[in-house]
This record gives sequence, C-alpha cells and structure tokens, in this order.
Amino acid sequence: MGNMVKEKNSLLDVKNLRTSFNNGKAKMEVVRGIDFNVQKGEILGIVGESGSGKSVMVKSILGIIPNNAKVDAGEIILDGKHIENLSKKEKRAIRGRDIAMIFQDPMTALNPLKKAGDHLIELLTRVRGMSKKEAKLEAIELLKMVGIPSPETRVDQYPHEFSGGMRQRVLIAMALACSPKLLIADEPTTALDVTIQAQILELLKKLQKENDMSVVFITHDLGVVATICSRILVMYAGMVMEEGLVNEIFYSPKHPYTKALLNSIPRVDGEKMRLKPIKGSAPSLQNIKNGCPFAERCEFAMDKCFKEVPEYKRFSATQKCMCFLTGEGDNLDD
Amino acid sequence: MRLFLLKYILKRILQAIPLLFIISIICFTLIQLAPYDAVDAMTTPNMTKKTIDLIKARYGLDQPAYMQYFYWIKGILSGEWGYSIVTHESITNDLSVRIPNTILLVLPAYILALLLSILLGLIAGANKGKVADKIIDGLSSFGIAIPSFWMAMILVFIFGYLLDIFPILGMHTVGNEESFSDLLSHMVLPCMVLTLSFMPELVRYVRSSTIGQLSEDYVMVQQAYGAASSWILFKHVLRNVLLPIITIVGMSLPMLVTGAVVTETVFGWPGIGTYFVKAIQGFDYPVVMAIMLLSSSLVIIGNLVSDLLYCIVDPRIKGMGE
Repeated sequence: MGNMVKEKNSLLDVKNLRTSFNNGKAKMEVVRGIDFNVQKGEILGIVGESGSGKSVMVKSILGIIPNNAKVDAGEIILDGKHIENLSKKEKRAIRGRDIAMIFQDPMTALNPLKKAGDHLIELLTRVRGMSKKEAKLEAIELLKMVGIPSPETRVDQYPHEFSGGMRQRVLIAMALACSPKLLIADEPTTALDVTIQAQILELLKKLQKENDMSVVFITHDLGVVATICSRILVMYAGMVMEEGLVNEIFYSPKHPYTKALLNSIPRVDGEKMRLKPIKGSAPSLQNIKNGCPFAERCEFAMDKCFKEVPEYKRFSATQKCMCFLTGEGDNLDD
Repeated sequence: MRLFLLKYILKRILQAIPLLFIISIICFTLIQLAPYDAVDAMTTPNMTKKTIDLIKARYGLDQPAYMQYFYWIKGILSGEWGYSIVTHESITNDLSVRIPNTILLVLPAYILALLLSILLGLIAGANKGKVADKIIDGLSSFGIAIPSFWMAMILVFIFGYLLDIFPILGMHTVGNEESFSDLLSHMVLPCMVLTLSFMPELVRYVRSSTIGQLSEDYVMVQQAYGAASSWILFKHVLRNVLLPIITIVGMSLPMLVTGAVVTETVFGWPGIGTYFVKAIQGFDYPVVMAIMLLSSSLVIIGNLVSDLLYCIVDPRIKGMGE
C-alpha cells in the first residue's frame, strides 16, 4: 500500500495553506499551514470536530470563502497546474468543471424558486455549452444516474417537493454534471437520517468508481470515514494532526487526539467499556497560544507541548503525525 | 392544483368580507360617538323644532343608530356615500373627481420609487460595507429622517423659485386645462417629493433582503459551481428578493388614497389629501367617515391582493394543496 503515494498520481497538492478571518479588529487564523495531497481515483477523508477548519480549508481551495476571509499563503496545484494565483474569472472556470462540491445541508442548497432541473440545466448550458433542450435531456439522465425515480417529472419540480435525501441526490447530480476530476463532499450526510446516509454513501462510492473521480470527503463521523475512504486526514484547530491510510488510523493511531477520537466512538463489538469523551472543547482560534493546539486537552501533555509546535514524524510512506511523544516507528501504547 | 388555488382564493375573499363589515361598524361607531349631531350642518338656529324634525326624518336621522347604520351601509353598497355637511356636495361625486387626481400623482411616483429602490437596494446589498452601500444606506437613513413637507419646500425653492422651471401650485395653469404637457410640468415637483419620500424605506428593505439572500446556502452553491456574481444576483437572488416585496406593494394600496396628504396640501393638488384635510378642519364627519372607510378597506384589499399574488408566484405556496 505504501507505494500509493506517488507524485505523478497526485491530482491535488496543497502546500502550507493558510486562511484567516478578519472581523475588522482581530485576525483569526482558521487554517494554519496545511499540507496534503489527493491521489487520482482515491477517496480522502478529512476528519475533525466542528470548527477545526475543514470546511474553510476546502472552500479556500475552491476560492469561495466569505468576504471577510483571506487566503494568506499556500500553493494549490491541481493536475500539475498552480491555481492559487489565478484571476477570479479563471478560478471560476475551474469550479463546477474541474472541482465540484456538495454541501452539508441539502434543504437550503437549492434555490427555492427554481425547479430542480433548472439548477442542472443552467449548469449544463453554462459549463458544457449545451442548448436548453439538450441540457434538459441530460438533466433527466443525470437524475436517473443518481437514483431519482421518475426523473422526467422530477426535473420540473421545485426543491420543496423533494425530500432531504432526494435533494442531496439532485446536488450530487449537479456535481456530476460536468464530470469533475475532484469532488469535494462537505459533510454530505450529516443532515440526513441514518438509512438515507447509507444510501447516499453507497451512491457516492459507486459514482466515484464509475466516473474515476477523486473525492475529498469531509466529516466528523469516523464511522462514515471507515465505510468509504481509503486515506484519512485528522484535523484539529486548523492543523493536520495525523495522516494515514484507513487501516493505519484505525488500527495503529499515533496521535493522542486520533486515539481520543477513536475512544469516543461507541462500539458494538468486543468488550463493553465506558465511552471516553475528550475533555474540554475545541480551542477558540481568536487567541492562539504557542505550542501544540491539542495540548490543553491532551492526557499526555508535557511542558514542551505548550511551548512549541511539534514537527511531523513519519511512520510509514503514508502515515505521519505531529506529536512530541511519538518517535519515528514508535507506538504510544507500547 | 388549479382547483385548490381557486378554493383558496375564494376562501380568502369570503374571509375579507366580514372584516370589511367590522371596519364599517367601527367607522360608524366612532362617528356616532363624536360630540356633534349630523343634522346641525343642515339647520340654522332660527328653524323651528318641527322643521328640524322634518329634516331629520328626511335624512333618516330620527331613526335609532342601528337603523342609521343600516341605511348608511345600504347607501355605501349602492354607491351613494352621502353628502358633505359643509358643502352639501355629494361625496360620491367629490371622490370620483379627486381619487383619480391622487392616483395620477401617487401611482407614477410609487412605481418609479419601487424600480429605483430595487436597483439601489440590490447594489447596496451586493456591495455590503463598501462605498456604494455606505452612500446608498446613508442617504436612505437621511431620507427617512426628512419630513416630506420640508423636502417639498426645498424642492419648491430650488426648482420653482431659483431655477423657475416648474410650477409649484395646482394641477393646471388657469385657462390651460386641456394641455397634457402643462399637467406633466405640474406633476413633476409633487411626484419628485413623493418618490423621494417613498424610496428610503423601500431601499432599506431591498438592501436587507438582498443581504439576507446572499448569505443563503444556495448562493454559495452557485458560487461553488462557477456562476458569476452578477448571474447569481440577477438570476437567483433577485427573484427571492422580489417575492417579499409583493407584500410591501400590497400593503401600499391604501397609499393610492391617503399616500399624498401632506404633499398634496403643500402643492395645492386637488386630490384626496386636500379634500381630507379640509374635511377634518371643518368637522365634516360624513367625508372623514367615507375616506376612513375607503382607506381601511384598501388595507384589507391590499392584504388580500398580496396574499393572492404570493399564491400565484411562490411555488411553495402554490404546491400546498398537493
């Protein structure tokens, strides 16, 4: 598995990405120097608590951050081309075409006064230059592809006539409309109930294989990650704490934060034990302290942890972790 | 679905009827409570009691209040709104002359104000916090604070006196009643005042509505799919902003009658405004009552119209019956 990470297979490379919010008085760093890459045809999971900067990070890549946010630094290389310094117009051309995104809340993601089909038709005429007629036929095809029954009538219905799961399918159809190389899914199942969640995950997995896309899957649900991802990035307070293949993260986690996250998932198999929630809450990014961002909540924190940010240590070609406690090749439990 | 829509419209109209009756009862009661006898306007101090009783009987004023209400409402329904106790003119005739004059002033001013407000509100909302927004929003606050009679005076001073390009009084130049261009030039100043006084609130409404819509998720989704911001503004946001404006427009229906009271008075425009002010000054109860009834009925009708329009325009309400 280790040879999976090869530069030439890389679709998206992000280096030292930094994004901050500025509310006029204070500057708040939300994304603090993130490096990662997405391989062609893989599903990369990004896991972290609410407020860990996951969404802002992917929106920074797409260039759709709010007006009071700013990308301060970083390189973004998509398919061998730098895209971080493109003009607004050039960047707009990438969105929808090369990178598509689906969002957390399907209930509000569609314009309530436009037919579901019109969302697709607009996109198809704009990006693929289709005529309205062609676009409508294609829209019906897309709706069929994402598993919406009787797409011929559905295409002319308004968003309020769809259930949450069906709306998310419409959004997925929008994402697929221009066969993007990369699909970013920002907690696409969080707002859906569990049975629908499973359906949507299955659908995403199937479509990823069929279309040979890469997917970045953002979630705070480790169970979801285990079902669909091949690699995981664990984020905390705007930094990547640990990165590794699914097996590595689940069976030999290195970072205390990753371990704590895994300990806080209820298990149905094996011995019964009390759930161990992580004490405290995610830090406010308004006054960032020196040192490891997790130090305050970490059981193993040492004096050093509060003073400087640890360097990444590699454990395999695919796994790396940012913690003083773990030496290269070490395991904390031993 | 059509059937549902028809049913809904019918239901709303039926609901409006009792409301209109309640309004008429309130209007009538208020007048009855006033310390003034309607017959006084038709009598002179040297009339005998017998003559007064005859007059009373003739106008039905000897009847008990509920009978009087009944006669009054019967008159209203058959288009006979009674007589002014000051001028003894038929109110129906007066209104039918004056209402068109007021509408001539208010309607173009309101439409212009609405169009300009949508444009300026969208610009301000889309550029929240930037220079354009600060100018537009600042001027709106300023505009809300300015009373319309003061603005009228300033405009009269500038355009009527300093520049001397527009007439400042009445509807026509004497002896030139048929000339359309003369009417237009008389309309300019009062219309300008009305437009400027309607605008600030509308601009603020459109602005805040635009800001609200722009923070909706669907806008971000459109951005994520590469839609240009002007496309998002005009093809997505505009419609969502315009929808609630239907309510505002519907609620403004009574303005067709009472929207220009101050402005008409300043410019001596022979509309409802001057008529109303004169009636109040002369304790002319039947006229006050008629205008009160008219404008409060228009509130109900305006509400009804905007609800029905919503029902036609908003797919979410349209689909409710399914």
